[in-house]
Amino acid sequence: MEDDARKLLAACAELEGDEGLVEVALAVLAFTSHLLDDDDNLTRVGNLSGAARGRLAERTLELLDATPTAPEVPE
Amino acid sequence: MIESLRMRGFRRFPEASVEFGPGLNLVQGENNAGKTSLLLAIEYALFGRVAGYTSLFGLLHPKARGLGVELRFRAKNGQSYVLQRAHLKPPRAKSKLVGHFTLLRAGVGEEPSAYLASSDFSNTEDDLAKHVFDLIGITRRVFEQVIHVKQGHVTDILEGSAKLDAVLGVTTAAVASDELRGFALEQEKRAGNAELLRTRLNAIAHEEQTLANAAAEHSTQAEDRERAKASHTERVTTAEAELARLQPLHAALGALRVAGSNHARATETLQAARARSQSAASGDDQTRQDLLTRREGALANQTRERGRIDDLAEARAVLERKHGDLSGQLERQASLVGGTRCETCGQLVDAAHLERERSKLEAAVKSLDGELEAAQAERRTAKGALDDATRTLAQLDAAIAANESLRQQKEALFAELGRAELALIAASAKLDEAVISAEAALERPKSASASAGSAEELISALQREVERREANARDQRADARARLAALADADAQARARVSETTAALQRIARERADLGNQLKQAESAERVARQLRALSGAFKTLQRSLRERACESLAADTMRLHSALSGDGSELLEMRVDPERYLVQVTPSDIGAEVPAHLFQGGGHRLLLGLALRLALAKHVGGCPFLLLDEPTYGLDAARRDALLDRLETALGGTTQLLLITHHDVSTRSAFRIRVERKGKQSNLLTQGASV
Repeated sequence: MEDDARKLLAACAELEGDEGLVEVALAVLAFTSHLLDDDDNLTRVGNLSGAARGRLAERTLELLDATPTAPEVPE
Repeated sequence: MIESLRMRGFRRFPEASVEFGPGLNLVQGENNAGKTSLLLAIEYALFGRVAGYTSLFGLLHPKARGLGVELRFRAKNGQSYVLQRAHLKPPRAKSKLVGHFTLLRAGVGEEPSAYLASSDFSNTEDDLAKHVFDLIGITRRVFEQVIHVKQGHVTDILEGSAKLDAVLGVTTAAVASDELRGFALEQEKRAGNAELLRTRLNAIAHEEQTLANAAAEHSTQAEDRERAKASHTERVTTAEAELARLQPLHAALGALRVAGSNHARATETLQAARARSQSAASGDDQTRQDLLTRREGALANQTRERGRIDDLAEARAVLERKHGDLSGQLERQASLVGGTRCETCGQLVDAAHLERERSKLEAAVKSLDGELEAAQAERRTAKGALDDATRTLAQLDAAIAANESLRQQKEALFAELGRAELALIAASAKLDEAVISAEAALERPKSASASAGSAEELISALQREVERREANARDQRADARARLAALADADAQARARVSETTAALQRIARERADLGNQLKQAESAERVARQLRALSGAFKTLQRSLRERACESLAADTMRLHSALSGDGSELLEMRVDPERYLVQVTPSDIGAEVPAHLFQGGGHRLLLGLALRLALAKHVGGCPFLLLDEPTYGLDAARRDALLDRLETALGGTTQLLLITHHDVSTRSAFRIRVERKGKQSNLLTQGASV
């Protein structure tokens, strides 16, 4: 399934074939899945709790900071 | 693949252990023997909790103070691992269980076991879950929704379940999409002022450039001022050196001028004195001669008067003798009274005669007195004349002495004049030398000296030259000092401007750094927001794609598995899984139209179809090392049950371990068997191994 997700994500127009971003997307998915697997991370209606959202945000930003981005256009 | 399971204090098992084989494992036993406990023990071991049990006390053996499970399994990498988990009641605790877990790689041969994670080593459940996922590729959701098929729930899946989103990754994609969109919004808020910051930074860069230009100009001006200061300082030094050089010259010329003036006066005085002395010399000689002549005359007068006095003294003496005589005679006559006799001669003295004689004597005496008085007067006159002559003589002697003294003084003066003349000549020579030296010092052209008249004029000219040069040097020095003062003022002002510029540059640098950091953060936020938006959009797309692909895949695999499990050919023409709710739509051959599977199929068909869909789901989720099927054959007749069990392993391709619970007698089936027996309130496990 991970391979499927990778292929599907790589084909997504939003990611424009950015392999780094695809890897981030996969990691985010894995972490989200990990959070969703634990009922402690969920509210009664099944959404992520505030703490879990914080962890997801932290992990996502950590992953994005570690992702090389296209060089910025000099002013 | 699960290799073995040990339980202690778990539900009805005070102590039990069981080994599993590859492929199909049949867990058999009577109803309520505790078969399902094995599956719950596996779930507990893997995840530390069991679905449907809010408290682990429900899993605790009634007489136990704790429960523990040891699960040995073979991971995807082919190595065996041991997962130990326990929950124990702390001393004196009644409603609290403290959990422990340890995951270790099982030792092989001489190789000892190795810890991977343990709650005793501060590892968390998250760490363990990650290890479990890495080793056997399952999560708790997958376990609950796919691996563990609970008793009586085989066909539930045909009615569609939103929970499938969770195991198909759709929920994950949806949640990730929603959350990342929210994160993107937060980042966009953070990045909202980026444009403003860029504008401000551009303005600051312009301002900084202007200040840098000003600073460069200040620097250039400072260098110019330094050069000017050096030049003016040199001018001051030169002027002061000139003044220092001229000052002694000035003093020397002043002294020279005084000396020249003195020299001129002395020359004049000397000449006058010489003239006077020369003219006085002849007069003095005449005077001296006159004085000598007059002295001789005075001496003669003195001698004459002295002789005259002597004569008068003699005459006086004669007269006094005569006066004496006469006075004697007169006294004698006075003693002679008429009729008396002369004592000398004894004769009677005639009184008349006597009177006559007395009158004659008295007349002679009177005459002598007159003569004496005259002589006395004459003597006094002579005395006066003598005194005069003596005085005159003394005066003349004094005059002669004075004249002599004057003469001597004059001679001394002449000598002095001579020396003065010599000194004057020497001074004149020195004066000439000094003037020449001063001229040389002033470097005057000779023509200028030649044009000057006397030495005094030359000195005056030189003095004027020195004064002119001194005035010029002073002017130069004053001008240079004034310019230096002006430069110092300019320096102070420039320093103030430079200080202001530097302060402004520092302020701008700080502001730029601050804004730069803010912009960096804002741009980073922009970049992250763009990426988050992209990821969110991708997850949204992924969500649809996963669902559509899953539905297509599930439909195709379910058709295939259903056909394989049915064995006698599928009665279904077509199958479709609705992407909205995962509702299974089938087209039975006898109906020829699409109908919901859970409504238009018989019980046995629905069970097969449900089982096929669950197996297809396990295949789709991928990499499930084992499946736990609790009474999947419920509702099938014996023939179909046996056929199903025969085909089940084949349909899965023999790669997945099956732990299948059944209370039916399936003794004809070749499988690894575990029997669960209940004795009173306790259950026991019997591993019967592979059998046919």
